[in-house]
Amino acid sequence: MSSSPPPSSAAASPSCPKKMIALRSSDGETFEIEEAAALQSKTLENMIDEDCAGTPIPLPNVTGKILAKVVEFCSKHAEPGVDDESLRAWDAEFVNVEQATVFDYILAANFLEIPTLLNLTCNVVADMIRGKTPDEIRKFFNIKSIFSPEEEEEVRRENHWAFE
Amino acid sequence: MDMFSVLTDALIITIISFLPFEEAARTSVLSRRWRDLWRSTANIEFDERFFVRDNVAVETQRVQRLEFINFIRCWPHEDTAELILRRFMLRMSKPCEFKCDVQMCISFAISRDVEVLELDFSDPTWDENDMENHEPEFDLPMQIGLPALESLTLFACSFNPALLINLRSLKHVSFGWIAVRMSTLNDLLRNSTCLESLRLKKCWNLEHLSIFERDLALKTLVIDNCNFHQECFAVEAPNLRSFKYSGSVGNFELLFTRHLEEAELDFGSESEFDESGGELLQTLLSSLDCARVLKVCSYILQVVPTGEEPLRMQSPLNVRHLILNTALHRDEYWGIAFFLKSCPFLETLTLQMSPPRIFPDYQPPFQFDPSRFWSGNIERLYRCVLRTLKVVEVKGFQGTVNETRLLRYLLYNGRAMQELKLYLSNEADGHGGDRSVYFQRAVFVMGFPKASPNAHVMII
Repeated sequence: MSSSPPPSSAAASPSCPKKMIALRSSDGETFEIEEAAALQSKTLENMIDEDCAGTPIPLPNVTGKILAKVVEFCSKHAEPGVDDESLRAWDAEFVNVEQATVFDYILAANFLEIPTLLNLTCNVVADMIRGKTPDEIRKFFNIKSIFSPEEEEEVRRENHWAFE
Repeated sequence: MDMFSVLTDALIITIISFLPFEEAARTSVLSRRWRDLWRSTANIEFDERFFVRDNVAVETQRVQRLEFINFIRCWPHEDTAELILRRFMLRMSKPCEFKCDVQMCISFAISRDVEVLELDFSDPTWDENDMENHEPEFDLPMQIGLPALESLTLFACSFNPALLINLRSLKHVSFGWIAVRMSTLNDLLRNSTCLESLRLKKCWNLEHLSIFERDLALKTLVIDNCNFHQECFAVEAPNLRSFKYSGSVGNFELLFTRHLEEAELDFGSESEFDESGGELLQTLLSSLDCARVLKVCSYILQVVPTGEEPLRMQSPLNVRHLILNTALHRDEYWGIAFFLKSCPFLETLTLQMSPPRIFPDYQPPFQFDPSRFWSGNIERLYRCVLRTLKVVEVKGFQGTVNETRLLRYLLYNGRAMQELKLYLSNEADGHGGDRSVYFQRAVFVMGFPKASPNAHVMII
């Protein structure tokens, strides 16, 4: 029995094979992702429309390690029937990684235009900033303040209401 | 290496937009790069209270207010296509003094297609408990063309009800300090079919509360000290998860489903002991019986045992987490026992210590000796205490006799107990007691005999 691939905007039904999209990371690894999951990325959505059938889409800005996780994220978020609470819990686990990886996710989500992942990861970084003093923030993220003491004083005066 | 060096300015602005406005402003001092990025935040809070302090002279406040207005006027207004504004909040008292600026702010927010709009013109000097009806401080222009608006908060700001018709994407609505008619609410519920939460704070002119829209998507309903012509509350909300009510006791007809997760009842505004109020409260509680989290006030603790069944609810409650707003004084003992007996699956008990509410004509259902009430007679061995209660928290612990009596009882009988958390009160008790005294008393509680070998006491 053969079935033709479903039109790209329709959800795949259990009896039809789901259309798979191939992606290639910057370091040459190939990944397969279901079309429904790939559509979470506006970038991929545009590329699929102008598709040259079958050839893996090259993503020079994303390494294999990160692309694997992004595929995982998009697949999870394309799954039908997952309730809000479980998805939130899953997301929390997904971003429970070291700082540098969260930043990699942000860049990937930005490049691939995945709003859900971008919001999730940016919020995580905001959580890391929340409640810390400027010194603590600088230390945490290794930000070098090139302000002279006078400049810093001036900025504090400018926005004094936020520091009181 | 600076972790943010790999991110573009736009991405940093996206991150900053998740911070509260004050914290966003504080990022200005992190480095030269960060100095002005925060001004592109998608989350704006123009809050007078950032500038105007309440512990200074009136003259100083006037100067601070002018500084606030100046701050608003100097805010970058360029209409760049990339600059998203997701949330706009304006909070100031007496907006009539700066009408033009307020109107400009509102136009600014509308022109940027905000998703969340909050206008709070209430005055911090207004008494929270005073039911006096204040004239609205501002009148919202008829047209706010914001079809994408998801969240609207209007405090002391009147509006033409027809305005709500076009706001079909509304998910969250909060009205405060204004007159609202039931017909406006019904129109809102009918038009905004995605509405998830509705909060009414200090509203008046409501005839009663009557909510019967079909397929109501509403998940949260909060009624906070509103003034109704008739205290009748009939609500059918099959998707409701959270119900909070504070005000006077009235006639409640609530049709909720097993989706209800939490309920909070606060009848603190009642000033008299109603010896026939128990029946009404028990009926109300049974309509909330699916809730996993239940918070009740001292009035309920004192009045609920006056119903026909003074010892427990006719059918058990599903409550896993019970929060009592209490002073643990003897007039509340029967009520506390009532709830312990009615919540056979209780896992967490939170005692929020508050000043005692004494009703001069309080009558207990039976004569009793307060000093022996919690002494572990067989009547006090409740299923939840023996089998399921794991965590007890005391917020504002001072170590009074009332507190220690109950805690001794819970530790002595609580076979499943794992944690007793004592959050010390930071306030002086008027008898020379302070945090160090409370600490000593908490240490004393640590030494009480415990039924559960796993139970341990934490002092916080």
